[in-house]
Amino acid sequence: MHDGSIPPVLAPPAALGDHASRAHDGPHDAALPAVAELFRDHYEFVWRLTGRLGVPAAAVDDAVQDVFVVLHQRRHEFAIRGSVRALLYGITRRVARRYRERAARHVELVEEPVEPAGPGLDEELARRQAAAVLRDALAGLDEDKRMAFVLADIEGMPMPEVAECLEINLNTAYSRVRVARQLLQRAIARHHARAHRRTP
Amino acid sequence: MIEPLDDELRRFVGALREVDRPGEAARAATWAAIDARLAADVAPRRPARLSWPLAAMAAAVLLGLGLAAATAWRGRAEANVEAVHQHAVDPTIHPLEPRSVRAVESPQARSGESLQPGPEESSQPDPGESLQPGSGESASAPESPHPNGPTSADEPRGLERDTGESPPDSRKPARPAQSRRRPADSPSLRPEEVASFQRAQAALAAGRYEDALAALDVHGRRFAAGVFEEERQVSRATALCKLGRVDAARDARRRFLRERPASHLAERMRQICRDDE
Repeated sequence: MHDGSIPPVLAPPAALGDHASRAHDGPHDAALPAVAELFRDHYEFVWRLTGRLGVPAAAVDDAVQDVFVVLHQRRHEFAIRGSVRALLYGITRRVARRYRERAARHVELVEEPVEPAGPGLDEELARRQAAAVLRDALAGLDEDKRMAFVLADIEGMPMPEVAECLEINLNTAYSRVRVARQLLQRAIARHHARAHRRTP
Repeated sequence: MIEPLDDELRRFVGALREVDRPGEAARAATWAAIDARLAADVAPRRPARLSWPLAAMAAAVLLGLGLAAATAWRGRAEANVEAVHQHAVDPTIHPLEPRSVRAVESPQARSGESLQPGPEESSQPDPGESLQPGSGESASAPESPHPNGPTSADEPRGLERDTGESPPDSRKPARPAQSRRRPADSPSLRPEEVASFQRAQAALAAGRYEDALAALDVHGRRFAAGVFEEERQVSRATALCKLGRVDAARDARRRFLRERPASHLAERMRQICRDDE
């Protein structure tokens, strides 16, 4: 189990398409790594997923905790038949659903995170604005298409792994990603159009 | 194979990747919280794992104790049942009703003075218990079969209690075969009284009349108001007659017939020394 200390998480996480986390060409039913190791390698992946799955920003950290705690408590029930990230995605999706329902009941507790603003950081501001545009556009998609795009184009998963995470066949995964891209492109275009109209 | 993102969408995706990243402080805090929760979960789970064998052992111990208690209870219950049966069979455990000896033998008590041996009889040495060695039966038969029975040292008290206040343990019944008549059926018959009288009867039957007289004297002193009073007078008259002390035998006969004309031994007493007359 874990040794009680904070794992060495400063190393770059292997969540973005690292080979070790992909088990498509490896043996099935591999042993689940220790929770500290999973946290070190997949913390950012889980953190991003919780936000993409609609968990309010104020509750993301709690949801991430729940994911790894559930993973530890039920580790003997889990068997890695494919991707570790696919397993994490399944757990995160269930945890996120619970947090979304809780947030819907307690709207007053949900607060939008305060965006830190630094003076003279135009590039950073533009990045934040672009991220906000894409985040809003993603929020406008249904979950199937949104998560297909997130896993494939943001998390960088190969399409078979995306299909595994979403528990759909590969062609459906391709289709969802294409449709999501088209919808996002239209949303970005509308953003540019509104920006042009506001700019004198 | 899916086609790559267009440049614009790739820029937005890149911006989102850059912005939506947790800080190191958030990572450390999240891990600390996870670690604390796992530690809290681990603490109670360890004894839970250990509790299986402990619970099994505890259950086995409890089962064993229950079986032992049930066995002990059953054994005690059976013992009680046996004790009840024995209690029902053994008459010595029953509390005995005080024998109405005083009422039965009140004539004897009244005639106690006249039943004292005559001058010739009183001149005989008091054999007491020491006279018995000459008798084979007296040597084999104990004077007081009951361990708690009165001894010669208890004679005065025995005489006093003989009126019906004798202790319960001294009232062990004699077997019916040992006696010829009522004493056998009497619940208040004392074994030592029966044994003492049997010694006298045995000496009389064996022709040892002196020993019989001595034994009857001892019996008369110890059990003056006993149930063998009439039998003792008949036996005494018989022994006197056999010893040739005819006058004494006749006196005893006359006194008996005068005091107990309705006795069931009256006819037998009349036959004593009759031929000599």
